[in-house]
Order: sequence, then structure tokens, then C-alpha cells
Amino acid sequence: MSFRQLRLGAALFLGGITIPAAAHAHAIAGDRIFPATIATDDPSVASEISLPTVNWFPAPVDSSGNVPQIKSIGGELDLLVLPNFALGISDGWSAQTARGENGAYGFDNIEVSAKYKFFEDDDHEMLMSVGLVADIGGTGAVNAGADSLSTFTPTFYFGKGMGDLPDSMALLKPLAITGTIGLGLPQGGGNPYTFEPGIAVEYSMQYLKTAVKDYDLPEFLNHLVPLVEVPLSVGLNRGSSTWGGTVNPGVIYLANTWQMGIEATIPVTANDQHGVGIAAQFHVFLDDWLPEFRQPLLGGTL
Amino acid sequence: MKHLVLPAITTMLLAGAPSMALAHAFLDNATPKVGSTVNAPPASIRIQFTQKVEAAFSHIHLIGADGKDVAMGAATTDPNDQTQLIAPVTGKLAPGRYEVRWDVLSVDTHHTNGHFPFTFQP
Repeated sequence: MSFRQLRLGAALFLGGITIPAAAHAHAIAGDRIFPATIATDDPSVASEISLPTVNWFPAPVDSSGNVPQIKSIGGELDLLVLPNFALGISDGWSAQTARGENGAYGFDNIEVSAKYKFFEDDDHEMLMSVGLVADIGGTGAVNAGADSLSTFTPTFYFGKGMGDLPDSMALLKPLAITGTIGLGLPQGGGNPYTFEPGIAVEYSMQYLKTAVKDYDLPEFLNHLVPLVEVPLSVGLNRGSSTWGGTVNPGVIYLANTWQMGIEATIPVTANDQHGVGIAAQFHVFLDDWLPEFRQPLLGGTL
Repeated sequence: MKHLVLPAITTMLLAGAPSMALAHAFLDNATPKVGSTVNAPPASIRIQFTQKVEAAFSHIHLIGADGKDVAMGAATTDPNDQTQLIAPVTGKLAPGRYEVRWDVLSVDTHHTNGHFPFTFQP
């Protein structure tokens, strides 16, 4: 063992750093890296930035018979404050324009979140977390659609990779499913409670190359994660029982320290969108860029 | 004003980012190749990672189809390339399917692990 290795070992020991197999800053469980998905949150906790997240879609036909165009740009910052606990803040700015009508522009409500990862199984590539998302009413522009009342959404997050399938199904091993189940609880008496399930089915070309079979594909292809996300919502009371949401086929390019994704957003009903939209996101893993974020901010070790 | 909090924090964080990121060490390629069939028993297992790794805290294990460990020497990094971890196979390999299990510590103390198969068929 060289002096450099001894020095690293001493530093790890003195810093109280253990090296458990089941603790990561990214959404990693064993061989599986769960990328940060655009429409549904991933199942882990990490220090990371999504910036920008851009959306464009045609809104439902308005009372004038026009189809307003909605464009938005936003970002989210998540910080790992304890080994399995992260806090987040997100915000966005949107513009709604329609031919012959005055446009509506402004910030969305600020959203804050707390998330706790309570389960990780590396052998079966499983992650589970619970969290609370709070949309803070009155912090956005009402004319741009921001609500004046707050909504709290307790949420369950899960992820499961298929790497434990039998070898006879080897080409399915790169598949993974992540999802969220949320219950939207708006304050005040106006808006209905909502049930908000979301699911993402993804196929990791990186997993195929590094854990199943290396086909010598071009390196660019080895970083792709084709996926379909389906974020849905349905009202539970106050006369609202219509399902809404989108089906989002797309692809994520997963690099070592960042990722970029783009998806089409296809409405499941005409209540949410008049046609197909686009969503895209650039995402950075902060712990890979800044030494300060390689361990939780308030103590504990990974 | 409150809407400037997120962009302000983000700008400060990214402005402080080093020009060269140090990240998790993920498998890039291996010899024998992931999922391959070889007609001679490999003398060693070599794995190239996406980042430099610390050999003293990194391991390669070879598991046979019977679930038993094949004897291996200690893993070392290539003297000219610290992203390559190499472990000699000292045990005798019978024809069959093998699984390589690795766990490494990258030089910036991120820990990762994984496994991949290969088949020895003379």
C-alpha cells in the first residue's frame, strides 16, 4: 500500500467515512442508475439542479375559439441535507399567448419539497422514498395561472430495475420502472383533492453495455435512455372526476456528471392540452461538480 | 424578488464549480467483454472505469456458475492509467458461465459497484 493510499485511508477513517454498499448521492441501486426524469420525480435523494426545464404546449380551446400557446421555463434545486433526506425548491416563468388576445405572463408559484429515502436494495435495484411537496399559494402571478391558495402533496416515490430477471430474458434487464403516487390537498374550499399517479418506463443503454452485453455500439448510443413517462391526475371530490395528464415518449442522454432529456407530451384528454407539446430539461449532479456536496450538508456520511 | 432566490443560488453554485468534474466511477469497458464468450480462460480481469479509482479500496471477484468464488489476486490499477483496475485470475476455470463482481472507490470517494457475465467455452 503506497503512502498516498495510506493517506486516503486515514482521511476516510478520521472523517468517519464508512463505505456502505447501499448509500449513494445519485439515484443508484447496484448496477442501476435511475436518471432524473422530467415529468415524474425520480425515487432517490441527491444534490442536483434541473435548469432549465422548458415546456411548450397548445392549451385547450378558449372561449374565443383560440388555442393559446403555453411556454414555460423553470428550474429546481435539490440539496441533500442528511444522508437520506433532501430539500428542494423550484420555480418557473410562463407565457400564455393567443392570436388577437392579450398575453398572460408571470411566475408560477414557488414550490418547496422535502424527501426521505427509506429503502434501498442494491441486489434487486429498488429504491423507495416519501416526501411532501408544497406549492406555496400567492407567490406566483394569478393572471398566469398561479393559484392564490397553497396545495400540499404527500408523495410516495419508487424505482425498480429489472436486472434480476433470469438470463433467458437478458435483453429486458436494462428496463426499469419508476413512479410516484401523490395526493394533492389544496387549501381553502375551492379546488378538489387530486390523486396524482405517475410512472416512467425506461430502457438504459448504459446498463445494456455494462451489465448485460457490450455490443460495441457507438458511444453516443450507450448513453441514451429511451423512456415513456405518464404523469396523470384525477379529481377526487367537489364534482371533479376527470382524468388528465399526458403520455410522454422521449429520450435522456445520461452522461457521468450531467444529463439532458427531451420528450413529447401527448395529452390523454383534450381537457389539458389541445395537441402534442414538448418538454426538455438539462440536469446537473451537484455532488460531482462541487466537493462541498459530496456529503450531506448537515452531517452524516454516504 | 422572491423569484430570484432560485436563480441566484443556482448561479452561485455553478460559478463555484471546478472546470474538471470528478464523478462516480462507472464501468466503461472490460476484458473479457461484458456478456462475451471467450475460448481461453482469461489470465486476468481488467475493467476500465469512467474515473480514476483507488486500488486499495477496490475489488474484483469472479463467481462461477456454482456460486463459488474463483481464486483471484489483489486488484491493482494500471501504473499508466488509474482508471483501469486489473486482478489476476489465479484459480482454474472450468468451461461455463462466470460473473464478475466489482466494487470501487473513485478518487473523489464516491463508491460504486456492479456485476457482469461472460462465458468460457473452449
